[in-house]
Amino acid sequence: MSEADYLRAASALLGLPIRPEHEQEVREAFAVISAQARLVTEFALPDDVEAAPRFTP
Amino acid sequence: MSLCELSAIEIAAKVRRREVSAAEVLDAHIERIERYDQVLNCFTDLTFDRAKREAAHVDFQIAAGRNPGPLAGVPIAVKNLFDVRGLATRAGSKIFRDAPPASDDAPILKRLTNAGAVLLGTLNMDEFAYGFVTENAHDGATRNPHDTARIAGGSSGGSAAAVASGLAAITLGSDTNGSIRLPAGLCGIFGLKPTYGRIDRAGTFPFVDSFDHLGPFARSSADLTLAYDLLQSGDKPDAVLPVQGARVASLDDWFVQSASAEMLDAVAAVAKGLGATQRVTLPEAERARAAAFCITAFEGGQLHKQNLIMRPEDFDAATRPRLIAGALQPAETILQAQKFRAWFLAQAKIIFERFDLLLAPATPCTAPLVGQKTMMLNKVEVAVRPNLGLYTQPISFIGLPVVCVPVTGGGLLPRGVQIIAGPGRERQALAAAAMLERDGVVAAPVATPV
Repeated sequence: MSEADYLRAASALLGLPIRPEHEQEVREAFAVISAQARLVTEFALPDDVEAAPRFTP
Repeated sequence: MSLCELSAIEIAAKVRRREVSAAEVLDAHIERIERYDQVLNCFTDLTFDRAKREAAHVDFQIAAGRNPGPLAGVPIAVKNLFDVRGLATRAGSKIFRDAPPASDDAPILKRLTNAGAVLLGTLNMDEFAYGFVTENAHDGATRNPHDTARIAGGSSGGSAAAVASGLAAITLGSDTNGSIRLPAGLCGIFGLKPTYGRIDRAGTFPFVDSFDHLGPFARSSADLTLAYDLLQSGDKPDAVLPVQGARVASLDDWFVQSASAEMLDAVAAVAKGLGATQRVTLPEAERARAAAFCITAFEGGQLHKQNLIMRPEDFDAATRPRLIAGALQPAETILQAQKFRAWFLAQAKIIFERFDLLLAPATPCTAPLVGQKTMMLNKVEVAVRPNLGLYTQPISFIGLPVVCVPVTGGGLLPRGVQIIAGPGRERQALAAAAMLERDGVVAAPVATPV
């Protein structure tokens, strides 16, 4: 799936429409974010690492 | 020396000794704002009527033999994401311009006014604090007092430029990815980003819950320390940690790769001033910056989702696409980024077993021009907006306290250096800043806009 296809699907599924006049700028921004995201997701973390946010009842 | 060039502590001392009235101090600052802010564009709202009432109250207290507090008659201002009674909290946006006015001041603003400070107004910022340049589509660009063709940095650009140019003695800002440290560095003043969670965020417009911090700007380390003491929520005062004998190292790898020679010279000067000879690597800082980038876009996008649906045309064009794209990221990225955050903090804590303070540039270069789209970093042309925070983002990602100190003079634009401490150890970074200031390594003289 291309990033453009993903954006269209995510936009529909999450109910956040992208107006036609904003499509290009959103695609460009998503490409920048995706490049950063790859740096994060490609890194092999130890299995016992827990996510940082804490819920304190 | 004019009243606008005095530090907050000097102003308060003169007011308490009746050498000058709070009203006279206020008048001098109003005159300077009227003279220079047309060019600088620091202020978005002016609260001079309120300020006159507050100054009169300070003078009344002194006449009655009471102590108005350690900030007696000190002119201050706040980024326009702080609640100010009677003003809409706009957070740099058009969307909230017509919001109902705040019914009360943010608690940390009250902490300063209860200490005798006088509020001049609210200050320009990047829309919703999502930027490093303070080139706001709705309110215009804030300009750097050291060279008005250049940016003040952001997102707390109005807060930094106002202090740097003597329009206010102390201001408050917020820092999610560098928004205190970065403009403090570019404008040549002191800025403190405290430990995550250290200062109460109530009464301020949020951006990214995971990373939002509030903190002060000042022209001296003593003023910065005083403001920090007044802003803290905790009743228990911090332990004063010695800087003599502190183990200090300069961060290498990610924190030097793209920095200009003059920025590295500034770090070297601060390192020399603190007797630091060692270098250390904070591993995977580039990924930490990337994780902060993704979480910021996601949480910011989710925060503004309803307005992105209902009125996207009212967002700053520099903000809107990043918020929409950020909100649509896959959950896997955000979960992995939050896990990485825990891992990266653990790496930093290992380094803090060997060192007390770490040094890094606040920015990769000095202030770019207003409107400049790209810059050269490490011989590669990159976009200005996302890359000014290369060295601040990994640090706020894990909530470490940082004092940004100004290396000024020599005919160069100001250069900021981050003094990074372990969690909860603001005092040690502040003590280091004070020592450097005493020894003339760092300084923040008032800049007359040119």
